[in-house]
Amino acid sequence: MGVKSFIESVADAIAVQEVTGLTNAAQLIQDGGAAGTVLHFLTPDNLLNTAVSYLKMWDSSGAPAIDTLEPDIILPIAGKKELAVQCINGLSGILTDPNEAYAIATSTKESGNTTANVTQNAPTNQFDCDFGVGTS
Amino acid sequence: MAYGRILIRDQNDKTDHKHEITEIDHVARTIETAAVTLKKIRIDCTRTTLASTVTWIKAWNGVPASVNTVAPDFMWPCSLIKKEPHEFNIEGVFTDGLTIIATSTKANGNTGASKTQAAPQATGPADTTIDIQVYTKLET
Repeated sequence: MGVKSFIESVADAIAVQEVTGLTNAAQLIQDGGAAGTVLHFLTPDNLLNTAVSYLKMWDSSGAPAIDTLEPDIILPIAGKKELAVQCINGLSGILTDPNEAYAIATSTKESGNTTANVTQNAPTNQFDCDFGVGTS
Repeated sequence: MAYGRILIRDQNDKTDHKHEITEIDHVARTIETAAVTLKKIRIDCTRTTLASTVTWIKAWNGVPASVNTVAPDFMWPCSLIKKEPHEFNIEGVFTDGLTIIATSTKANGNTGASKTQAAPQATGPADTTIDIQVYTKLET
């Protein structure tokens, strides 16, 4: 998909969920689609932090236990940086729970797993992210 | 319009290296040894046969002691049997180089528990590997 058609798709078919102050509290990211969420773009903004922050996302029915459940997506953003992440054809088949994708921002690189919890700490300063999502 | 401006800027950015990695699985591949920006990854899972499962691309800064015990810096999913390009532009993270795997294991090892990373899943004689193209740009 070219830039022009991508921009047109942004305007026509993608809902933008703007999250200001994303922390280590699980934030519901939803598009209302019964079959789940297609992720089209992310714009994580870590400009106010000096350390790396991680955007983590879960395909979850209900808010996930972020310290014990491994996420489906881990995206690192260096300190004083912002990203424009594009899923050119849309990331589908991952966030499949209807209306139930969740995200956090954390300064913790490690993630918990079924045998060892890892506390997910919030970034020191504000972290923002816009989520461009559509329906499956 | 703000999004359009961001997208056009990033798509015009040049890359220094294009890594064609065929038949990658859970065995670590170190593809860069200097600081790089991870520009984009084209993931091709179409040689596998299980449409209902997921393969994760996991990446580490530098060379991890073990992919089973060291948490990755980056983790991105691809639903089988899809072929998807994604642009990331991750700068300032892979400062010691870039090591990458493809795995069907979602869980990551951490300091408290090792998690064995398995190969991508398939049925019968189908491949348990995928193909990816990784585009990087050297950071100076």
